[in-house]
Amino acid sequence: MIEAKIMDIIRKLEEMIRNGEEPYFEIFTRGRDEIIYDANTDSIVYRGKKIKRRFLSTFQTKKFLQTLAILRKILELKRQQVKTSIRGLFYQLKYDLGEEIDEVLFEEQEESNELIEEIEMMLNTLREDLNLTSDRRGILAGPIIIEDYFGGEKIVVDGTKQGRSGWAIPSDVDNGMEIKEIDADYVLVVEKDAIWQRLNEEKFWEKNKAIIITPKGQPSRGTRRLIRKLEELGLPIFVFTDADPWGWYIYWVIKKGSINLSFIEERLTAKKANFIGMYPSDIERYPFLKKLTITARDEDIKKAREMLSYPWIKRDKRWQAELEKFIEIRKKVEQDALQAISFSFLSQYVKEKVGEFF
Amino acid sequence: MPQGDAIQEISVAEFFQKNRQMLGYQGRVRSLTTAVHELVSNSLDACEVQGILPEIEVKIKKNDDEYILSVKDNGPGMEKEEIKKAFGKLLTGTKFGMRQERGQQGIGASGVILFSMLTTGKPAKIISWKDGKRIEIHLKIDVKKNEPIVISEREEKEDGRGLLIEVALKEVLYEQGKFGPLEYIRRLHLANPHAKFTFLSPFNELFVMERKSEKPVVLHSREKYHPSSIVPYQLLEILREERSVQSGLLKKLERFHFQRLLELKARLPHIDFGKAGSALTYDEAEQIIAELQKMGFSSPSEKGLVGIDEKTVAMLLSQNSEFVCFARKRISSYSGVPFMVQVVASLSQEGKLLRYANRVPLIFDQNACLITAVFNSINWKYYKVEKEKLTMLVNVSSFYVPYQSAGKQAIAEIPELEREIKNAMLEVGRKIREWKEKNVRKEIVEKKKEFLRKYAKLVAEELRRITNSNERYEDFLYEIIERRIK
Repeated sequence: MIEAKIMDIIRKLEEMIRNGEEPYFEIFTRGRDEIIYDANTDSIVYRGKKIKRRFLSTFQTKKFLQTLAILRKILELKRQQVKTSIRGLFYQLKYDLGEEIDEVLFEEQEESNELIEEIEMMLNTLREDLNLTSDRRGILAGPIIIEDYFGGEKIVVDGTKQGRSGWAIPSDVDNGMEIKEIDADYVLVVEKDAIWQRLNEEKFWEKNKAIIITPKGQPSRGTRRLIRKLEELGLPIFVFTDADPWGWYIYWVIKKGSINLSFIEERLTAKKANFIGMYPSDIERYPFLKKLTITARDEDIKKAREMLSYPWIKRDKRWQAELEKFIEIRKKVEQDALQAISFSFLSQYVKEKVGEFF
Repeated sequence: MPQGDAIQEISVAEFFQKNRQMLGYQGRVRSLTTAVHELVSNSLDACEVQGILPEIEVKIKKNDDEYILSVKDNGPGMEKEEIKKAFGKLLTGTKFGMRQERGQQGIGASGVILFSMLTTGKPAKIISWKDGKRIEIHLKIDVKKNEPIVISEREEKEDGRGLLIEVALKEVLYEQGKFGPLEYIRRLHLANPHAKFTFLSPFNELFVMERKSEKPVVLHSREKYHPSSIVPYQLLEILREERSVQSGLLKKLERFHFQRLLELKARLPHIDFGKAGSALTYDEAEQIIAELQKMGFSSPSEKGLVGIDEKTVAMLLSQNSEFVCFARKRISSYSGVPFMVQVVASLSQEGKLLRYANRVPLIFDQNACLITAVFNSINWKYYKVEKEKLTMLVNVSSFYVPYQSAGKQAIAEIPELEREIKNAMLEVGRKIREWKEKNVRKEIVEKKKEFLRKYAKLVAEELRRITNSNERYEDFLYEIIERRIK
């Protein structure tokens, strides 16, 4: 399918060239102004401008060639049924253009990354479908069976038998992966790996019939996609982070996607994800936390202010209040602080918070 | 002068003997070039007056410190008495009426003979071929009487046409450089491509400069003055022998016809234009001139004013340059005398200002010359010109070129002349700038095409890899580039 789409574009180029017309690619411009939030569907709708990347426009000529080269590479990957990371792609394409031009095709990975995003939009597909892998980072444990068709064999992954390290979530959870069985009531996404390990040790997932995932900070694409797939299967998603803007941002990325997103990231968002904490108001609710707060830095305040401007936060009264409170008290608190009072308090906190939703 | 001393009378010849630098004989190199210039100018004039395509041979031989200079031409030749008068007396000549000839003051050739005498004591040898006769005269100048001293003369039958002058010179030095006679002849040839020159140097090197143009140059005479710039004493002078003021005005003023006479008379009803020319008063002359200036007349006619052939000169200069252009002829007048300014410019490897008056190269006194002053007053950078790469040829043609001094190597500061020289130079500056701008644009377009062609090749390679074909996409792209990038 992707191959057909790409060849379509190529044929158009050929026609232009044979007709003596300047060849060009049609791409979407990206940037904040073109991103529109649709309040009716509570989602980001992209209405970017279609522009032409023209061969004869000397500022765009190199980009034209780069775009063509990446398309060529993707075709090669698909035809050979091979995957490569976007960094790998960068290196494979980073060849000398020849003695005449004193540059390499790509100077920095940033250039090829940007073009990959454009091509995703051009072809209306995720890069995983282009045989391009991204970094993976998430860990999972819990009552779930996944079949992984890998290297010509079928490998069965049992989330309850992953031991202390958990199952490393791959970058592509769609192609060659199938969720066979789930025996959980919900999914808990925990910001920090240390907290996940605590919960894993306790066998929180067994005691509470939950799947616990840690993105280990900013969620990777594979992790986001898996969370979305689990939501599609009917599982409620609960996100648990530090009480600071970076943690809150993780929640919003899982729920809405990154602010620079394009509409194709829709497949990576878990629209119904819920936030269980930590909020700034938790400091009041659990007084012992008062002594365990950290002073917020200027960057934190700046990020909080930025988040206040996000359209979906603007309409959420609770979040407005919480963010404003944060800016006022200038204090943040970590998930780990919940362990201060006792080791079991952590899971208690989670159960209590999750309970509020049922 | 102390009282009691008798005022001594010296002859013209004596005067110039004592003041030979005034004739251009100062410095050993300059003296030789001046001598060559005077004799060659004479030859060229003689040919052109008769409409003959000139052929001139210059030979310089050296014997220790004595040089022998001989100049031979294919002019009309001269009669015996003409030879004696022209070469044996200073301040005579055949220049009647206003003719645009190079030598003007009747000093030139005889000055050479005087100089030769002063430095070597030897007589000059003159041979003329005319009307089947060959006349050979050896003469000196009687300095006190300003009369020729004929040492020997001979006449015999021989066919041919032309004149040969041979003089011995000391206190001169032959130099190959820009002040020497060879360079002078070269520059002369540039402005006179209708002439052929042969030059034999003291080192026995022979240089032949062929005729580059077959257009003969004919000098006409001109008797009229232009009303816009005539001055009172001139007006009185030209009317002095006329029957009436009005007939004199009609006869002697250029662009002045009956209609304009009526106009003038209407403006000055109190002057009697019917009276004899000699009766005109200075006051009246002033008034007439004032009115003439208010009336306005079209610029002097070109007739009779012979300048360089810009096209041929441009072509000659273009052999070593990337761009040549010239200004349109500028004709105006000063003090009633019409003049023409021509400028040819070339962008080459060196910066040279080639000055000419009546197509004769001005080699010396560069810093005293008006042409140089005007050239330096212009901000050439504004016209995107590097002075070091600009070769400019300026020719001023006139019936009476105003020189700074008797040396006749520098043009005097006359405002009308200054204005026209400047305008012509600015015009040339504009043309150069226009060309440079077009060129820069062309360069930019070329660079852009080159850039795109390189990428076209790579794009074609990518397409071939994708389509697995041998199609030459780059050929299509090259064509698109050629067509679309201007």
